[in-house]
Amino acid sequence: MANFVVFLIAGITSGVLFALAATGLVLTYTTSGIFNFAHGGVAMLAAYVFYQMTQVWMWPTWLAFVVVCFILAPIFQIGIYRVIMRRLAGTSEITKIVVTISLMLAMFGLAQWGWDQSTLHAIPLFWGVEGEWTFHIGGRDVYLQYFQVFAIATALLLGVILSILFKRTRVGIAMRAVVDSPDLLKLNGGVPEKIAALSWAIGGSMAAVAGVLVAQVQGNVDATSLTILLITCGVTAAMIGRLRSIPMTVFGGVLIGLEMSFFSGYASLHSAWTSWAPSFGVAIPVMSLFVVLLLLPQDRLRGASLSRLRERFVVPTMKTSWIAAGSLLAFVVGISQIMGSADAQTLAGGMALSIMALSVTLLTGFAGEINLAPISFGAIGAIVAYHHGLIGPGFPDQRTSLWGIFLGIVVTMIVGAVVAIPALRLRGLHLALATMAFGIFLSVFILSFTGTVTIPLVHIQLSFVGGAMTVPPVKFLLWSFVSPKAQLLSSTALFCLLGIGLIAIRRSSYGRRLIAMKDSPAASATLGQNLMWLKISAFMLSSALAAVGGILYCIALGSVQTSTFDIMFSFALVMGTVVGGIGSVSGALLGGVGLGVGLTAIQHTFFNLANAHNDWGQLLSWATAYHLAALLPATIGITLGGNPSGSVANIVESYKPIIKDLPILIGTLVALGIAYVMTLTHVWGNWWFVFCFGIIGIISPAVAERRMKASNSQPPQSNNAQPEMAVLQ
Amino acid sequence: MTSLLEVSNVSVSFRGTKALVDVSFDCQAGQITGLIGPNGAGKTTMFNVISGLLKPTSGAIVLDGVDLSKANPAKRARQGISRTFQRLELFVSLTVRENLVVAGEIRNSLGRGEKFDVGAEADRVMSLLDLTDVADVDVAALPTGRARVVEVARALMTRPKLVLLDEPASGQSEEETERFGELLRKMVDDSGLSVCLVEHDVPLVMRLCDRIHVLNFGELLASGTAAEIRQNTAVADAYLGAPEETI
Repeated sequence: MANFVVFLIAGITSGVLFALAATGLVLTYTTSGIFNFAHGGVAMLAAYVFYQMTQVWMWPTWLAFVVVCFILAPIFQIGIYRVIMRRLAGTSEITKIVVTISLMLAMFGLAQWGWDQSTLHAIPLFWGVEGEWTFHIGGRDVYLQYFQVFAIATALLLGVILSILFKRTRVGIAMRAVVDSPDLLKLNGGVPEKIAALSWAIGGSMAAVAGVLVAQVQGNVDATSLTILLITCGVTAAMIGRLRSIPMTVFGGVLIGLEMSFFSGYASLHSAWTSWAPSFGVAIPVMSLFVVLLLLPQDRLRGASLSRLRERFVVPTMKTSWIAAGSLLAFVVGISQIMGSADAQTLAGGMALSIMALSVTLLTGFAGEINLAPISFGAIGAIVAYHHGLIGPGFPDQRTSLWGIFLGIVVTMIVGAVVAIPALRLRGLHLALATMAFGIFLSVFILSFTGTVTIPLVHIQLSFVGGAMTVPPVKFLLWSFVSPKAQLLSSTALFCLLGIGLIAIRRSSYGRRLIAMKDSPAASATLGQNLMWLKISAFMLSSALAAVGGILYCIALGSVQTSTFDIMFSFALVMGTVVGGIGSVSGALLGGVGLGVGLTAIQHTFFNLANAHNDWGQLLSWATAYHLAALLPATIGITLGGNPSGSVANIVESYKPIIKDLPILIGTLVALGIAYVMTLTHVWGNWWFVFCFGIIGIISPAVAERRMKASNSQPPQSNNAQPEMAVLQ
Repeated sequence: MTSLLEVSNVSVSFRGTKALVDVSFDCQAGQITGLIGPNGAGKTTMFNVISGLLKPTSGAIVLDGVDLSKANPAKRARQGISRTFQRLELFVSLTVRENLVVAGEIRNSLGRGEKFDVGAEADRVMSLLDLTDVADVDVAALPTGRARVVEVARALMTRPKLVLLDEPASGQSEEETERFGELLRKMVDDSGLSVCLVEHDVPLVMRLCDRIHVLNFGELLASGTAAEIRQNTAVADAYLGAPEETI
C-alpha cells in the first residue's frame, strides 16, 4: 500500500508535466496546422537556460523560473512562428515535419554548443530533497515532496487559466475560431496570424514549465534523454487527445506518467527483471504511442488537395540517368586516387548513407508514405548480416558473406511489411509518428539488450552482443572489398545501380501508381488500385534499400554501437534527403553524402583550425565556426519553407548555363583537370584541390550566367542599356 | 431498359446530422441520369457512397445485379464504376497524359474486360476530349475548367460501365460547357456508356439527361424526365424557396 501511494504520487507528478507539454503541442498544432517536433527541444533548452541561471549565475530560483518560462520561452516561440512556421503554408506534410525536426536538431546543436555534454548538469529540486511532508501508511513512512505539490499545483493553475482564456475571453474564442476556420475569422476582422503567434507563445511557456520541472524530477539536464522523453510522452498524450481535446490530452499525460511510474517502481522490486526492465520502462511511452495510433479510427481516404503544393520534381530520362551515374562513378574513381584512406572510408560511409536515403526517396518521395526511422531498418539489416553472415577466421580476416547480406535484406523486408500493416490505416503525420515510435523502440529497447535475442522459429539473432559490433567487409565470390577505396568504389557503383533502378521504377507503371497513390489515394482507389498491396510493396522495397545501406554503412564505420542507430540520426538522414530533394535520386545522394561526409569534413576543418588557434578568444573564434558548421544542415532544413523542392533543383538550375556555354564548359573542365593533376602528382595537397574545386564550382556558373544574360539581351539592339544593366546587377 | 445501378434506402448521418435519408433511385444503362439539388442536398455524399469512399449508415448499392454494398472502392472500380471529383483529385505530380496512362494501367491490371494498349487509348481519349495540346503539361498547371476535363478523361480510361461525373462543367466557359454536353451525349449514344451526372448548371442537366432525380436536404424530392421535373412545384420551391418564405 505504501509503495502504491509513493508510485501514485510520482506518477501523477510526471504525468501532469507530460500533460502540460502535450497541451502546448496540441495548442500550436490546432492553431497553425503544424505539428511541432521541436516542442520537446524548447522544453530541453528551457531546462538548460534555467540551469545556467540558477547553477552558474546563481539567480534566485523563482526569478529564473519566471524569466525562463514566462518571458524567454514565449518570445523564442513567437520568433520561431514568425520567422519559420508562417512560411510553411502550402507545403506538403513531409516538408512541415522536416522543418520542425530540423529545428529540433538545431536546438540540439545549440545545447551541445552551450553546455558540454560530457558532464552532468544537475538541477536540485525546488526546496531540496528535504522539503517534504511525511505520512505513515501501513506502518511505513511515505514522503510527499513540496516540489511534487508545486508541480501539480502549477499544472492545475495553468490548466485553469487556459480554460478560462478559452471559454471566457475574446482572444480565447478567436483561438478556437482559428481552429475551425481561419478564413471565416479573417472575414470577421480577426487576425489568424496574431492569434496563432499567441498560441505559440503560450505553447512555449507550457513546454518550458514542463522542461524545467521534468529536468528536476530527473535530477539533471540531459539533452537527448530529456528531449526524447518529452517528445514521446508529449506526443502520446497529444494523440490520446487526438490533437483536439485538451481534457483527453491531460488524461493521456497522466496515464503515461502513471504507467511509467508504476512499472519502474514495481519492476525495481524484482531483482530478476533488472536485465530488461529499465530499458522497457524507457520504451513505455513509444509502445503506448504505437498502441494509440493503432486504435485511432481509420483516416478516410481523401486527396491531399495537393494542387496548391509548391514542390516540383523533374524525372530524368534513363539516358540522362546512365550518363549521370557514369559521371559520378568516374568522378569518385578520380578523387579516390588522391584521397587518403581515412577520407575514402568517410566517403564510403556517406555513399552507404545515400543508399539508405534512397529508401526515403522511394517511400516518401514516390509513394508519399513517411518513414522517420530509416536508420532503424538499416540497423536490422546490419545486425542480421552480422550474426548470420560471418565467414572466415577471426578478426581481422573475417568477411561478410553475400548470404548474410541477403538474409539481412529479407528479414528487414519482412519487418518493413509488418510495420506497413498498421501503416495501411495511417497516413501522413500519424504514420510518421508510428515509424518514429518503432525507431525509438528499437534503439532504446531491442538494441539496448546486451544478451542474445533470437527470433523464435527462424532462429535469427537480433541483438547487440556486448554493446558493440564490428561488421567485416564483404566477400563476393572471389573478391573481398577490404580496403577503404574498394569499399568506396563498390558502394558508389551500387548506389549508381540502385539509383538507376529507382529512376526506372519511377518511370514504370508501378512508379506511376506510387505517385498516383501519393497525390490522391481517393482517386487511385476509385480507379481500382489496391492500395494495400501498393503500400506493403513500397515499404518492403524501401526496407530492402535501407538494409543494403545499413550493412554497407556499418562496414564503413568499422565498429558500431547502439548510439549509431539513434533516432536523431534517422531524423538527420530524413532531413538531409528532403533538403537535397525528396523526389529525386540526386537529392538522396546529396542528403546521404552531405550527412556522412560534408558535416564531418566541415567540422574537422574548423575543429583543426579551432585547436590551432584556440587562443583567439571565445566568441569570434574557429570554435564558434565549428559549432556553426554543426548547425548548418539544420539551418538549411529550417529554410525549406522558402524552397520546398530541395537544393538539387537549385544547384542543377545554377549549373545549366555552363552546359550551354561551350567555352566556359571547356574552361571549367580544363581548370578542374589541372587542379586534379597537380594533386595527383603531389604538387600540392588535397586541401588545395578541395579549395580550387570549390572556387571553380562557384565562379564558373556565375561567369556562365553573366555571359548568358549578356548574350540574351543582345538581340533587341534598340535596348542598349540592358546589357550594362545585367552586368551591373 | 434495365437498371444498371440500383441505390436502395441509403441513409448517411455525420454525428447526428442526417446527410442522406432513405434515398432510393436508379440509373438506366445507356442513359444519362441527372442528380440535382440545392447546395448541401447530399449529391456529393451520394457519389461518395456509390463509389465506396463513404460507408452509409444503412442501404444497399447494386451494380448490374452485383451487390457492392460491402465492397471497397477498388472492388467497385473493378465492377465498372468510375468517377470524377468535385474538388479536383488529379495526380498533380504527373502530366495530363501520365494521369490517363496510369488510370489505364490500373484498369488493365484488374482483369476486367480485355486489355488494351494504354498509350493508344490515352491518345484517343485525349483527342476526343480536346486535350491533345496539353498532353505533356503538368496537370497542376492547368486552369480548373480543363483540369475537370482531364478528370473526365481519366475516369473514361478505365472503360467503366457507369461513370459518376461530379460537376464536370463548373469552371468551364459557356461554349466549353456546350461542347462538353454534346460530346457526352455522343459518347453515351455511340458507345453505350452510362452516366450519372451531378451538376449545378440546371439548363445543361435539363438538356442532357434522360432522367433526373432531385435531392433536397438529403431526401429524394422528385424523379422524372426533364419535362416532368420542370413542372414539379416542389422542385421549384426547393430551388427558389417556398412561396410563403419568399414573402
